This record gives sequence, structure tokens and C-alpha cells, in this order.
Amino acid sequence: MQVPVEQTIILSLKIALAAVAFNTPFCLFVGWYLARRQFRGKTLIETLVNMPLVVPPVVTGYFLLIVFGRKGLLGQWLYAATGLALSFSWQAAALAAAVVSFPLFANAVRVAIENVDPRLEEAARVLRAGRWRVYLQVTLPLSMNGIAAGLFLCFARSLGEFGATIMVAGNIPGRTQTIPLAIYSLVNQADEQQALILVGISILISYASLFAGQVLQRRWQGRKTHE
Amino acid sequence: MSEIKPILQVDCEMQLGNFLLQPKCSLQSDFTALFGPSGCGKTSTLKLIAGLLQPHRGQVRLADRVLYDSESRLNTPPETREVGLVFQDGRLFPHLSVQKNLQFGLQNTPPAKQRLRLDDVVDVLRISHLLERRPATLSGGEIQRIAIGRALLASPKLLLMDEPLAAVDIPSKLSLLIELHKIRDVFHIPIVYVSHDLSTVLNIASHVMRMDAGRIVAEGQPFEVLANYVHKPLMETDEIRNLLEMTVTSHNAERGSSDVTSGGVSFVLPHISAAVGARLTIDIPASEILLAIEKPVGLSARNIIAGKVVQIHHFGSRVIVKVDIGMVLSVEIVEGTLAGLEIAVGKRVFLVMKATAFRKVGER
Repeated sequence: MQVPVEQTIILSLKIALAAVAFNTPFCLFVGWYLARRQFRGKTLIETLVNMPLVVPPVVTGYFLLIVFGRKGLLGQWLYAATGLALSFSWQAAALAAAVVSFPLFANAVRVAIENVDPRLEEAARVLRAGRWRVYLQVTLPLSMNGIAAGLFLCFARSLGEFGATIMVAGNIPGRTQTIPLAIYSLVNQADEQQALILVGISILISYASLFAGQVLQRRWQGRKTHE
Repeated sequence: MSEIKPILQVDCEMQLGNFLLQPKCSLQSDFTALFGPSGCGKTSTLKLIAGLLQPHRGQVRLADRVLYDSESRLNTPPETREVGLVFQDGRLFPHLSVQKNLQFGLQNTPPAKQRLRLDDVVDVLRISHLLERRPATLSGGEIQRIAIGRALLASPKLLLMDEPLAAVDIPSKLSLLIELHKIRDVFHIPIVYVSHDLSTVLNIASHVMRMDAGRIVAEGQPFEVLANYVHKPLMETDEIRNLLEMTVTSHNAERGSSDVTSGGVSFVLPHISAAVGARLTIDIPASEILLAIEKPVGLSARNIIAGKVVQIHHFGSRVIVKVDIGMVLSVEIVEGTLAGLEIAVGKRVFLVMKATAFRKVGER
């Protein structure tokens, strides 16, 4: 069974956007925390944050299934309380995409914040700005270039997510079948023509989002140093 | 002394690597200079007061309020200390316009605590033409004007300045010095000013603390603290200046001169292209003023003013005589002159100044 190409594309975009939206607050916090705070066990946390980069996505997906599946550690509690099951839903696909793209986003934020001169943050503190205001009014605006790049990278990686998605969300056309999963199914069904269309679209969206990230980064960099 | 409430009391100890910082002082003056060689702990002391560094032991009090106390584990964060700090490098926010930079602290200040208005600060610091600019396009002197204005607009109860003029060219520096005096007088904000530049310290401070190797080793009136202090630039090259604020009273086209007045004393200067009533900042170096014990006659110098010696200070072979002519001016002579003319405190003397010795450094 196949659904129209547009439906697959829209579903993919929705899942990727949800993953970005879900990741943004966490990545802004974790990136800042790793950039600006020294604490015991920092290396352990850094390693943990970067794990999704190297763990096979299938393993990440399996882990998410164990935790969030209907009989999972948190999932069964969630199911008992609300009757909702996260697994095999588009939300599960978004969660899978979010976890896998998390390190790319968090590391970009971290590097961007590390590049902000901490002396400017000191200057803001003595101008009656508390930590939160310093973050919002000085640190964030000055690291916007790197954050934007991280955001688009996260979006592009989410669009391409395959292994974790298929484990935790399955491959249900119209519900959890994103572009990469659809391509996989189409090729298996020897529907090369449909597959090629999706391959082309996939490349196009990925290129466009990385390009947009680069352009924004360039523009903000310019604003920071030249004007 | 003990009856006047101290503005600031510091008694702290902090280990910085293998350097022990132990500032201890109690300030009553409204313009204090903290002076000492590089690396003696001046900047760290300011940071302790502002809350950017936390000492290991001791207490910091601002008027009646305890800002830091190790015994009661009290450490007020910088944003609620109401202590302003102007950094040597300005530290303007590069992503904000000059106006937004100025308003940064103002916006964070509760309305009930806002004591200064943007317009007043812009006026005193003469920065109205810069408001739309971006920090990257400003000169060193302009950056520091904005940084000082920004700190003032957060309505601090104490303003700390960490060598704000170190990277500023000489003319900007002199006019900024006058403005610092104005800040103290107009806005009534006490200032602690850190410098390793003695000529600056002598020009602006009413009280000096000398710091060395993490401790405050001497404090008092500027010339007292610095007298007998072995400091090569001061003994040999540093120019002692008199910075005066003057008002133009009339122009004399025939003689090519202008009459100005400062603190009730009139001076004749070479023609100045400024309107009558204009207020100028004028610099006359102490070494350009002659001292006479009788009223000289037949001199080309246009300014001969009677006064009385109030203080005499020695820096190596240099001697600075402070003379009261309605305002106090510093006059530099050499040791031999002092003895030869029998100059002593209380003696009536005449100051002789060529019109061309005055230099205009600013106009407002």
C-alpha cells in the first residue's frame, strides 16, 4: 500500500519540525551549561550527549522502545495514566529524530556560546542583569549564528532519520512513514520511479536547509563584527 | 574621621594562585584613586567589590548594606549590588546600537531606583551624535564615554572605574577627566578610580590609596601619599597638569586675544574660536607656570596673578608647589629654586603664565 508522495513529504516535514521544536529548549540549555559551567563529571555528561552520534540508530530506537513503548519503563505508566501509547505514532518518529539529532544541535549551541566573550557577560551582570537576562540579552543574540546553523543541521538530520524511527515508530504509510522509510519500501517493491522522485526531493530539502543555515550564519557573523 | 559614615568598607582575603589579595580600606571620599603597579591586585579588588570575584574570607560593605560576608555566608550577586563598573576595554555590546547599550542597565533598573535620565547623561558626556552608531565604528575615547554613560544609567550607588582612560588618546583623556569631575558633582555618585598612571591620579582624585602586592599600603591626600614614593615616570617625565574649566567672557580682535574666567579668576588667552559664554576645558602644564616672589614688570607674559603657597610636594628632584589664586594651581619648580626664593607654605607669590601656554582640550 502506498500513499501520495505529498503526504509522505508533509509528514516528514512535520516530524522534523517537531523534533527541532522539541530539541530547541534542551539544546539551548545543555549547550550553555557545557559552555559556561564547570562541574564534576562534566566529561561523563559530554560523552553521554554525544552518544547518539556513534551508537547505531537502531540501538537508539530499541532503547526508546524499551523506555517509551506501551510496555516500556515510562510507556506503561503513560499508557495506564492516559491511554496513550507513544510507540508507532508520528510523535514517536519525532522523538526518535530528536534524540538522534540532539548532539548536532547541542554541540553547535555550545561552540557558539563558547565564542561569546565572557567579559561581555560580566559587563551585563554589573548592569543589573541577572543570569537569565544575561543569557537572553547578551549570550543568545551573540551566539545566534551558531545556533541557527545548529538548528538547520538538526532539521536536516531529523529528515534523514531512518534506523531509530523504524524501531520505535515502525513504517506505517501515512502515519510514520517518512521519506527515507518510503524510499526503502519503494525500492523493496521495485518501484524505482517513485523512489527516485523521493530521493530527489530528499536531496533538495537537505541541501536547502544546510544552505539556509550557512547563509544565516554568515549574515549574523557579519552583523557581529563589521557593523 | 570616624564620625563620617564610610561609603565603602572592604576587608577581604583571597588566594589567586600563589598571589594573596588582602585589600582593606574604608572610604569616605567621593573621588578615590586606587593606584599601584601592574599586577598588584587593583582590578581584582574592584571585582571583589562588584561581586564578579568571591573572596575566601572577609566582608564588603556599601554604606549600611553588607554585600559580602564570609561568616554569615552572604554573597550578594553583582546585579543587585548597585555597584557600577567601567572596564578598561569598554566592553560595549557589539550587537546593540550605542543608544541600546546606554539603555541596557537603565532597563534593568526598577523605576523607583532610576535616578538618572538618558538625556542628562548624554548631555554631560556629549554623546548625542553617537546614539545611532554601532560600537565597532567608535574611537577609543568615544567607547569609554558610552561605557561610562551606560554604567551611570544603571543608577549605581558607587561607580568603579578600571583604568578607563588607559587606551584613550591624550586630548580625549583630558576632556574625559573633566567630565569625571562633573559626574561626581552633578550626579553625586562616589567614584573609585583605578590607575597606574600617576599624572591622572594627581589630576582627579581627592583621596588616594596606594596598593602593592595585594595590600593597600598607604592612603590619604594625593600628594601626601605619593610624596617620597619612588616612581620613575613621576620623578622624570610625567607631566603634572592643571585642568581648568573656563568660560569665554570676551574677544579682543585688535590684540588677537580672548578673555576667559574660571572660578572668579580671569585669564588672557590667544584668540579662541568659540562664542562668548562658551565653556572650555583648558590645560596648563605645571611646568609652564613661572613663580615670582615680587610682582614682575616688563614681561611679555599676559597673565600675572597673585596667590599664596598652600602646599609643597617633592618627587625626587621635582618640586610641585600648590598655589591658591582663588583656585589651586600646581606649579613645577626645581629644588634649587625653592631654597633660592625661600618659598614656603603661606608665602605670597605671583604666578606668571604666557597666554600661549594654555591649551584648549575641549569645548561644550
